[in-house]
Amino acid sequence: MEVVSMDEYSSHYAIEPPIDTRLNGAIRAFGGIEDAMMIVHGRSCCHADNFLYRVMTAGHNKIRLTGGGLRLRDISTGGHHKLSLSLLASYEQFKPSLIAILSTSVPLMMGDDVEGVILKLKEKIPVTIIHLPCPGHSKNASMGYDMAVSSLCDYMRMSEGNGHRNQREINLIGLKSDNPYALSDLMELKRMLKDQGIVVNTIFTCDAFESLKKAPDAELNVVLGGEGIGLAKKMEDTFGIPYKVVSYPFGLRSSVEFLESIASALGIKLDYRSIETEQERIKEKLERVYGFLEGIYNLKTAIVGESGRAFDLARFLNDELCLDVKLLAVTSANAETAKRQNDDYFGHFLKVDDRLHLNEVVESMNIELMIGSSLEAIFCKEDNVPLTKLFYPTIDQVFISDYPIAGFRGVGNLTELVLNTVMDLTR
Amino acid sequence: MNTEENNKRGPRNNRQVRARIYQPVAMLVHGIASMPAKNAGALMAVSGIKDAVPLIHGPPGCANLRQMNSFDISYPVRLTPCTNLSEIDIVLGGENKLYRSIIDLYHRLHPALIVVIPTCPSDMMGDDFGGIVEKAKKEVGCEVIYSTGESIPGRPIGYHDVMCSVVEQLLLPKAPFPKTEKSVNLLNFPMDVNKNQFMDLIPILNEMGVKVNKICFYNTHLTDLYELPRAELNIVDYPSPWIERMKDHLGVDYLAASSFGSDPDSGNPFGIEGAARILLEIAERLGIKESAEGIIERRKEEAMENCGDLKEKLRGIRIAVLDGFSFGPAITLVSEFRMKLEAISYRSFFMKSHGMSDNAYNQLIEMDIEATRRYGCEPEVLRDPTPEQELEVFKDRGVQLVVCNGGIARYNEAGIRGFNGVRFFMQSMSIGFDSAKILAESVIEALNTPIKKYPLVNMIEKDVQEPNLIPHWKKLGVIWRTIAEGGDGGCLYG
Repeated sequence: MEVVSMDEYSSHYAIEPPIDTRLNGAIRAFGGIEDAMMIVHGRSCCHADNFLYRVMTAGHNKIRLTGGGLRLRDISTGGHHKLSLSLLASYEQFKPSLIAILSTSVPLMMGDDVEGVILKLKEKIPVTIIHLPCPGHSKNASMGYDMAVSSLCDYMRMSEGNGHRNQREINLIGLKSDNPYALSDLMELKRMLKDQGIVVNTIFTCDAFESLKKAPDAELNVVLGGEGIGLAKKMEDTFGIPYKVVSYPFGLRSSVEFLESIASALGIKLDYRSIETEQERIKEKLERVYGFLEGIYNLKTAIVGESGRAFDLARFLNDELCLDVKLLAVTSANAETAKRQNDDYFGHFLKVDDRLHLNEVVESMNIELMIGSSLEAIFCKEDNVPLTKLFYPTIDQVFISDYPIAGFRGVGNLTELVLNTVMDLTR
Repeated sequence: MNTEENNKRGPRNNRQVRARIYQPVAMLVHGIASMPAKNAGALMAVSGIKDAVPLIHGPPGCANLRQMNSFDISYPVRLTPCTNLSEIDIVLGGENKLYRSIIDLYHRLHPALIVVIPTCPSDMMGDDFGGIVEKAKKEVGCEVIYSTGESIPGRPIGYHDVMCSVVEQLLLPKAPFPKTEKSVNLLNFPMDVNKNQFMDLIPILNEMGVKVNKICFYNTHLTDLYELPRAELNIVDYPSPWIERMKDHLGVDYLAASSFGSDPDSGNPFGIEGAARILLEIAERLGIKESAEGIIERRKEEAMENCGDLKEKLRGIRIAVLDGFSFGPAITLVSEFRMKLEAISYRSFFMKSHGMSDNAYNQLIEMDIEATRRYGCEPEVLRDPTPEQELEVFKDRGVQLVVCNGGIARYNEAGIRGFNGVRFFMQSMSIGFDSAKILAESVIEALNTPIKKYPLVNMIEKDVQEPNLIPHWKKLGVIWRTIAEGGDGGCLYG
């Protein structure tokens, strides 16, 4: 495996950064909490940009994000007053169970006493308020996601009268509800687990705050693709709950491993009959497109996405769908990235710090298929490369149907998406 | 205009179709629940110059979400490089990084112009933009200018700073410029939907003996910017700071075609009368009124003749208008096509979200009512009605078509057709003699569009006062307005 040298572009001062900031990760984490409200405490830019992406990637009826509304003149007087207004109005309008204040560069440079504002409003706003500093220079969205979900641990407790953990109950950590097809994926994972008698207690983050607080009731934390591992470690330390890092289950092999891994950690035996039934269903679907599967064999492919899902997708595309994954470009790295960047199911690995450099690398590879997000659309259009959008942010598609790309049902759907992309006559 | 341009004006143009899909969301992110700020405006300006590249002087957080711009959601910004400021830079200063980034960017992309855009952190650090840009310019083979962030008042914020920098840092050092007699620039916003605004005037201006010096922004390059000061007159939709500077420093006077909030007859540039008025004003300013009057009159008569059949089809059709009469297509439909205005329904939420005071809002309504009387209409005026009240009035008054801003399904269900006036205004409304005809044809198309009997969209709960917003969006809007009004009164630009 070749890791593309960082030296090649470390001399570049002007870079086109990928979406990989702490703020973005935190917004995606808190954004999945159904009854939470987020306040981006900063200037209009910080709020408006994140709001726009939220509108384009989350449900229109699920956006619970507002701003601190700081103007130029507030820089001399401080942002306390506007933050108070924002907090009070947010509570008044939505009655959230949790408010997350994400402070950006300006209030942090000004030294706004956010904790003081929270303390002052404690009686008027009787809900949990979390403050997370997210200055613009703090990179790593995965870290932001991790910090956000980890902050929830302080509010968790076991259900009353529940002296022991609920057998065969797990928490899923690392699911990002604004990823393409994420909600369908979640339904599929629950279905697969249910078939094996395993119940999902709570999902980080695609759940209500009250449910998340009951996370310690579960027997095991399952960390998808390594996203949010900090929370799993914190819960292990605090509540003694073990955790297991599993692949994001793209493909048949990975779906079986997903179940095996969890079953093994829970000390239960898998029912392989249901898995065989799933395999038979997949086989029937693939038989219908056999000729095309031969046609895409070793198609030169690049994958651009977050570490938490990109490695596992690369593995499916290379090992099972038999594409030739020339490049795996990771836009946001997590704790698992370093462990996996020398794996053997892709040609080159690149941690994307500069999208201009990414374009140069992809251009040199004569790629025939790109798997990425909407941010790859312009490059793919200009270079006439077919693009399948499976990663965040996909802002030019909607996802309202039951169409998982993970799990057993995801095998056929992913195959369909890839084939339809490369076969499309209108492209 | 070539065929390609004609095609771009048609409804099948991909970008227009995308723009109409994104329009309701654009409304939400653009004033209702958030406000795009200086960098969005600055990038809009830079994106209008084809061989220019922006350089955002700030941390990655100020650049990484910039590919989507609230001013033009349907069309991603291609390049938004930044100087990648770190925590250490914020303490020690980012001037060295800015200097090196300018040189680096030039060697990577070879643009004709680099526009340095400041961010909040770099502003607070106090980096010497002017000094660094001057120093770096000696090392690169392109022009480099820097925007002043948000120091120039005016909306959209950030846009004017870049354009004023163009005037002051690019054009002024090269002054004086030779003048081309009887020439004009046609200037619009560098948004795709806006760029055709003055195109219809070109053949008439040519016939009048007026040379169109530059259309900006329309495939505009750096070399085109250098040509701008040659014109005698800038034709713009609204006055703006950079146009004022061209007047003050480069001697290029301007004519603003639109005047929001003034007398509807003299401030509305649309329709046949509006186009004639603008053309006459141009002729007068260029000192060719005498020779041009006949041409304008003839063109006007031709246009009226061309609209004769359309006028017959539209005359007397009962319409209702939402959120204002005097500006946009409604006044043209009444004044030039004699459609019968039966009702105007005002919903204050959107305008007030943009910082409009009660007083100003009431003045606008009074002005509208005055204008309707001028055209012999006595419409029923509704202020923040419930959807049911509004529909009841529309039905009582026999309204056949509502000129609205989306939400047509609600009227369709009551058997009334709708015409999205805001969408037409944003995408198709141009200044010229053809514009009235295009408007009339579009309205006739709306009148002939089958009514949707069972719209699924009507299953979705809407806000009572603002039926284009779901309750969730309205709550976000209320929060945002609370911060604006409770903070210091005005709206949250900047």
